[in-house]
Amino acid sequence: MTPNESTVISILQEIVRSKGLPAPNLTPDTLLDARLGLESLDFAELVVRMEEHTGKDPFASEAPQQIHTISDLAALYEATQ
Amino acid sequence: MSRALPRDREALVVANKHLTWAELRDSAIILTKTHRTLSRRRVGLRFRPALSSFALLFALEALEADVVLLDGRLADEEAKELAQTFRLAALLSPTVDSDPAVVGGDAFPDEAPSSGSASVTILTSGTTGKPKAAHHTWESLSRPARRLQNSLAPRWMQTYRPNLYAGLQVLLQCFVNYGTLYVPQEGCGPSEVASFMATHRVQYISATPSYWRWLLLFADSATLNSASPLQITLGGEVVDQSILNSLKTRFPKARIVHIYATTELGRCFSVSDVLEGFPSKFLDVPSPDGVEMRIRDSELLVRSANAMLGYDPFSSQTGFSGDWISTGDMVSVRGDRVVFTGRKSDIINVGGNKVHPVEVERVLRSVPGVLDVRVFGKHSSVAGQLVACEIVSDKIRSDDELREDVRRACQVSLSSFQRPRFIGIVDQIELSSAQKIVRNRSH
Repeated sequence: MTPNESTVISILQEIVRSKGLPAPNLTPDTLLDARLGLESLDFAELVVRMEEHTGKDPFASEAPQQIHTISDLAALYEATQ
Repeated sequence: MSRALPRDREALVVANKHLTWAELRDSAIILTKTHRTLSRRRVGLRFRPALSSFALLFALEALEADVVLLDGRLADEEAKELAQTFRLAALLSPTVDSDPAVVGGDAFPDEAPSSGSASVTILTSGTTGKPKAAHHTWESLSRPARRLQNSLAPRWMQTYRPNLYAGLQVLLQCFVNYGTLYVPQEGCGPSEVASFMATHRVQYISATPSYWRWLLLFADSATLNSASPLQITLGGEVVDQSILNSLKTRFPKARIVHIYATTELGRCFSVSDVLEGFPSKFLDVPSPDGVEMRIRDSELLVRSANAMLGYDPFSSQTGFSGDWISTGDMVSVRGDRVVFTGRKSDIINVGGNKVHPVEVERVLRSVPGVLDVRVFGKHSSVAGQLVACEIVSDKIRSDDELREDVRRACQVSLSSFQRPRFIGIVDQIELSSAQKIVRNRSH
């Protein structure tokens, strides 16, 4: 698991927990979709928190890319700005 | 001022310095002579908390100067830039420890012609970019001041910056009755303010709701309880039921007055029934003061006889017709009451959904352990904005436990887009220089 994948996972667990839902079992292959109990604002929060950790916001200047899994999202933060 | 001057009565107490009415008048006379070449010219006054600032204000009135009031804390460079922007003839800078009858300053070469009507220009704090400059006259500023029927001298405490509309109102309201104005030491803490209030047996105090919350939260209780003001006034921000209740509980004998005023419109109305908002019947008829109000698209519109004349010609703002003005304050009608829901510019846009910070703050304040709160928008590239908050905790619960309590309360009372997703725990809520909660992103 890459450090960014690890960060995404721990932030997601926090977000889900703070909604009063049970902490999910997440892996890099987990699909980022409604099965996680996430809505669009939760995703927005995830992106803000990732920016706080990494200093990067891959969504700032471009339309969101195709992201299916946690790994896909984490990969966006690997690219140098 | 038609009544005889009470020579020996204190006019001003600024920190530990005093000036009687006779001394204030004499200082003003000396300053009028010293600065007589500034008669009917544009003059900036850096309103520092010095006795001479007040004497100078009277002198400039007597000289029929066009006075431009500047915040006393401005750095020299900034003040000089403003002097140039506003094409002043001179910039006067009172200093705190000097003789009340002595004020030095700088002259500027590019002065503009006078207005011909002894104006007073107030720079509003403004939320972004350049300040707006509201052009009043002594007449428009003094209109709301009420003369007391008796000859008792009111003792007022000044919490506002004297270069702003609210500060001038307190000054004029006090002085029109030959009262005494008490100004606490700049930058002193809440317990010192409470002590100052109690020592001088201050009767009238006017401040923003945020200032009152700060005082009630942090000032020594016993000291604050020993101050027994006759009247407490609040304004400048949304006055909600929670702060009204807190003040009523703490000062049961005081009359509590909510004054709604803006720098441009002047004083619009006052309400003293200790209920938030104002009676909806205020919307139907002009007040005896000549103020009319109506609502359009949930925003309060006002036409006011206490209004300024217009924006200063050298300010960045233009266009004031003296007709119906959009106040930028959002309201909601609830039965026979109109309630303020917050500033239009504070509205947080969460993925197209509008959130009023004041309404979220109401919910958060109800959570046990939350002493004070500020709700604001946090930029999100995905959603536009998300709701964030800062909370002052009573430290009985741990920070994490308090965050959980807050989240649970929000789950129950707020829609998803209204719920703060970022909850910071802070020691104190940061206020602007006008003692108002700062909610804009650019703070």
